[in-house]
Formats: sequence, structure tokens, C-alpha cells
Amino acid sequence: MLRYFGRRLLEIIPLAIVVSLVCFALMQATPGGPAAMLSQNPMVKPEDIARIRANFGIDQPVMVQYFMWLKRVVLHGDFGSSYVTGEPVLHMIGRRLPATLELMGSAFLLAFLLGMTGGIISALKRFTKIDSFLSIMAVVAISIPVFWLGLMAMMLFTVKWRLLPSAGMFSLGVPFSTTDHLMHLILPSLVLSLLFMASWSRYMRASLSEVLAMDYICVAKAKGASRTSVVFKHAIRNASIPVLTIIALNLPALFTGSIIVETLFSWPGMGRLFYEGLLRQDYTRLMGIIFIASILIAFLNLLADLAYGVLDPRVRYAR
Amino acid sequence: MVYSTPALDTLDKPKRSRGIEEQTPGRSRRPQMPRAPKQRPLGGRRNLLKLLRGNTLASAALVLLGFIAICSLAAPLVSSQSRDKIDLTKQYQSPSIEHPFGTDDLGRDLFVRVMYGGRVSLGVGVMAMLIALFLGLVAGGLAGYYGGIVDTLIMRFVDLMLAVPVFFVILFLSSVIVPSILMICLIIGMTQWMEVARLVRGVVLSTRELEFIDAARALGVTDNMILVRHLFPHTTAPVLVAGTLGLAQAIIIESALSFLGFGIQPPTPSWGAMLQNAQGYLSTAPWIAIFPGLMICLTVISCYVLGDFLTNALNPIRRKIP
Repeated sequence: MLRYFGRRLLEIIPLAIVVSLVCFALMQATPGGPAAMLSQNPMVKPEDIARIRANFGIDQPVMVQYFMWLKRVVLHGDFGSSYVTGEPVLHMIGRRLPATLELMGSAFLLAFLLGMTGGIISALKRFTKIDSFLSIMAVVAISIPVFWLGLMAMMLFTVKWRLLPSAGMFSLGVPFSTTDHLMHLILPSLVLSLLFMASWSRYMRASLSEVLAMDYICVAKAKGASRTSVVFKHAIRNASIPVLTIIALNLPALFTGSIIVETLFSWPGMGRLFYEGLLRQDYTRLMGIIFIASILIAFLNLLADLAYGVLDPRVRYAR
Repeated sequence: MVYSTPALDTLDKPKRSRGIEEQTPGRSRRPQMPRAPKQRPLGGRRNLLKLLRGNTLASAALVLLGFIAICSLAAPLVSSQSRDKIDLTKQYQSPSIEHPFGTDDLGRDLFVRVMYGGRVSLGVGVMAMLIALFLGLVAGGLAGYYGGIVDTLIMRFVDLMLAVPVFFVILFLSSVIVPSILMICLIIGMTQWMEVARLVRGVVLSTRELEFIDAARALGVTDNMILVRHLFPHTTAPVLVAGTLGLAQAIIIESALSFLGFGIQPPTPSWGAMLQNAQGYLSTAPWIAIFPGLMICLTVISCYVLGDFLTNALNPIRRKIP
């Protein structure tokens, strides 16, 4: 188990290298970098531009730049400094990461708990009114683009009914309180989670219906196990294995959603940092964020793989 | 890519009345032969149409989608008003007979803009979907047919693409490149082909071992010909489904991109681009936010319902993909 974990952890390294290469190629495709922006400014002299280019190391050949960048990242964990503010990229991300993780974590929990519950109810009450209702809701929820859902939620809950705040993490000018913070969290996390909630509930329904039709469930019933025990002890565990695959596949989409939701709700997280970086063409920052997000996703995928073993004891982490 | 909604179970109760009717005596002289159960899921267009007629939800989705497409195409015929005509005396008018969807911050008629926006949104969606299907067919076909190192390389690359938060890359690219409509189609298509590649590879892997492929090879048919003429037709069903869902996905991505300001640039309307400034008018002119988004939702719901219908209609037995 521990060896498996270690091996999988090592497998992240080639991924990181390829992702960094892709990022670097993307950056090279950009027209100019900081110097291009400065050259628009008549106050900046050519020798200043040359000096700045030398400072950032962008007067070197591409491969040299790449290895310099890689060396800094590996030896010092240094992703370079922002072209715009001059602050180390890692600091910027570090400051914003907790907010993102909080938002994504709560959205994930909501989606997981409600989605699973909905799926289980649907599967147990297949072809009843409640099942069709949940199914229709799920299809509608999957079809709503997340940014429009956010707009509509804001319109109803903030503008019309004045129930929930829709911007930032705290109310301004008020001492910090947990309730206030949670109130700010409700809308963005619900909006972010709805798509996943709906999609996972559909998968859970399909998977659980399939498992409930299997012979071993029949055996369990015949042996006199109670309905709760059959469903919760025997069926759900097996049914959740394929759903876990989908959840792992959806993790990048969770990051995607967080860019949009954070931008919409002014949530000071990594997604918003990325968006601001796009507006200001801060390439080092963008590259750092793509890199960190990829590593995070790889790591979360690893956790999902470990969860297989918890759900299904037949899974061996051999080799 | 979130290919969701596994089965709405709209087709769970097949109609079987026809078989009984045919056994009533006196209708024909021919001896009663037991009908062979229908083996081929894709039994021609007529079959599919018949299934579609029995499925109200899917028919409604198809009609709605067709209606939206026709309205978008016919936008210049239907409306006398110009798409970008600014009329500052008519800012923020609520929906009325003259302006069914109201007017926006520059006094432009939203109904007209929504129709024109449909052209861009649907056009980009279809184009991006076709690019994704093409790339997926090529990559999946090559990986499945040749196997070995080709397979490993292509599928590792697919895994990598699936592990990277692709939307970040799409945003990055479209902020760097000046986003023309064609460029946006390319960017979206190039980041959405992985799922198709997996599906196609699965089908090709299982089909290439069948005898008719051996026969074709024995007749001296070239590899490329076998792939295109004999293997690709077998991927029709999954590719059709993936195409429908991919269209929905592409429309959503385009609208999200345009909403954030890195997609279709003003004054060209697309449904997403029209929502770009809507956040500021939520309290004064909510219709600016409501109608374009509603169109996205309706289109995407129709696509998902149709995709669902096709999944059930084309593979009664769910395909297992290795």
C-alpha cells in the first residue's frame, strides 16, 4: 500500500514535466511578454527594455529559459515573479489557495452528499413520481451553464429577496463572524456544486439500479437481511465504485467551475487570480496556476485511486 | 468533458403490439414464420424515426432544436431591425410587443440580437464539435487499429489531456491569440476530442478482430482503407451520441469563454457574449441576463435529451469499452 502510494506519487513527476513543457510552449507562443507591453510606452528607453529582459532572463534562448525555470522550480520551489506586481507567484497562489480550497471543498461535499442521496432515492424508488421528478431536475441542472446559474441565483437571492450576499467572503466594515462568512459561502458553493450534484446522482442511480438487480443482493435478501442492511451494507458500497471513477474524471471540471464562480462572486481564490492574470497578461502567474492546478488534480486522482481500495477489498495495490 | 445523464429511461417500455397483429389469420397466404428478433440496433433511418415518434420528449427536443436553428438562420428575414443598431432613447426597455425580449444598455433590440447570437453560438458549437469528432476519430482509430506503441503514445497523451484543467488552457490560448470565430472553434475542438478518441478506440479494438476484417486484409485492402471503410462505420452509434453531447458541451464552453470576455468579441452577439455585462443590470434590467441564458439552457437541454434518446435507441445493449 505504502509502496503503491510512493510509486504513484513518483508518477506525478513525468506528468509535471510534460505539463510544464506545455505551459512553457504556451508562453513562448505569446507575443512578447512584459517587454512587448513596455515597448508601447514612449517613456521607456530601449536600454531599459534590454535591462528588464535581462533581469527576467527572457533574452536567453528558449531551451535555456526552460531549464532555468525548471531548475528554480525544483531547487527552490520558485515559480518566478509576477510580471505585473513583482511578487513571487508562489506567494500569490499561496495566499489565494485556501479560499479556493474552501469553496471547492464545500461544493464537493454538497455535491457528494446531496448527489449520492438523490441517486440512492431515485434508484430505490425507480419509475415512481419522485424518481421522475429527480431525473428531470437533474437533466435541467446539468444543462444550465454555471455562469448563468450564478447570475440567476444572484438575481433571485440577492437582488430580489435580499436573502444572501453575493460578493466576496465577508461583509465589509463588520467584525469577522463565522455565520457571516458562511452566508457568503452558500451561494457560490451551491452554484458550483449543482452540475456535479445532478450528474453524480444520475450515475449513482444507474449504478445502484444495476447492483440491486444482481444475484448476491437476492441472496442477501433471501438470508433475511433487513432492507436497510441490504441497501447500505451490500449494495451502496459496490455501486459507488463506478461513480468514484466519474468523480475523479470530474475534478478538472471543478477547477473550471471555480474560475467562473470566483469571478462572478468576487471570491478571492485562485480562479479569480487566474482571471485577473489573463486580463493583465501576467504569464508567469498563469503558468504557475496551471501548473499547480494540474499537480493538485493529479494528487486528488491519486486519492481517488486509494479510495477504490477502501471500497473494494479485492483491489490490490500490487507490483 | 462531462458526458452525463446516463439514460432517462424514456425507452424502457417498448411497444410490442405489432407482432401480435401479424399473427391474425387470413391476412396473408404465406406460412407464418417466426420473426427473427431485431439484432441490428441501427436498422436504417426508418427505424430510428419510428422510435423517435414513440418518444414525445425526444421529438419535442428535436423540434425545439430545429426551431432555434431555423430562427437563427432566418434572423435577417424575420427581423427588420439591424443587429447592432444603437438607439440610446430606448435603453433598458422591458419586454413589450415591439421588443419581445426588451432592449439592452445601448437600446439594441434583444430579440434580434438573440436570434443573431444563435447563429454564432450554434455555428461555433457545430464547428467545434465536428473538429473534435474528426480528431477523435483519427486518434482513436489509429490507436485502436495499430495498437502497440502507437496506442500507448496516443492514449497516454489522452490521459494527460484529461488530467490538465483544459479550460485554463483554453482561456490562456484565447487571451493570447486574437480570438476570431474560427480560432475559437479550433481551440474548443482541439481540447474536446479525448472522449471521442476513447470511444472510437474501444469500438475499433473490439471490431478489428472480427473475421470480415481478416477477409478484407486477405483481399489486399490497405490498412487505411480498412480503417475508413470497414471500421469507422461501426463507430457511427457512439460517435453520433458523442456528437450530440459534444455540441452541448461546445456551446457551453463557447458561452463561458465569451461571458468571461475571451471569446466572441463585441459587437458580434453570441449568447454568452450577450451575458458579459448582464451582471451589472440584474436589478434594473434583468431581462438582459435572462433571455440569452435561457436560449443556452433550452439548446443544451435539447441536445442532452436527444443524446439520451440516441444512446438508448442505438445501443440497446450498452457497449462495453475496454
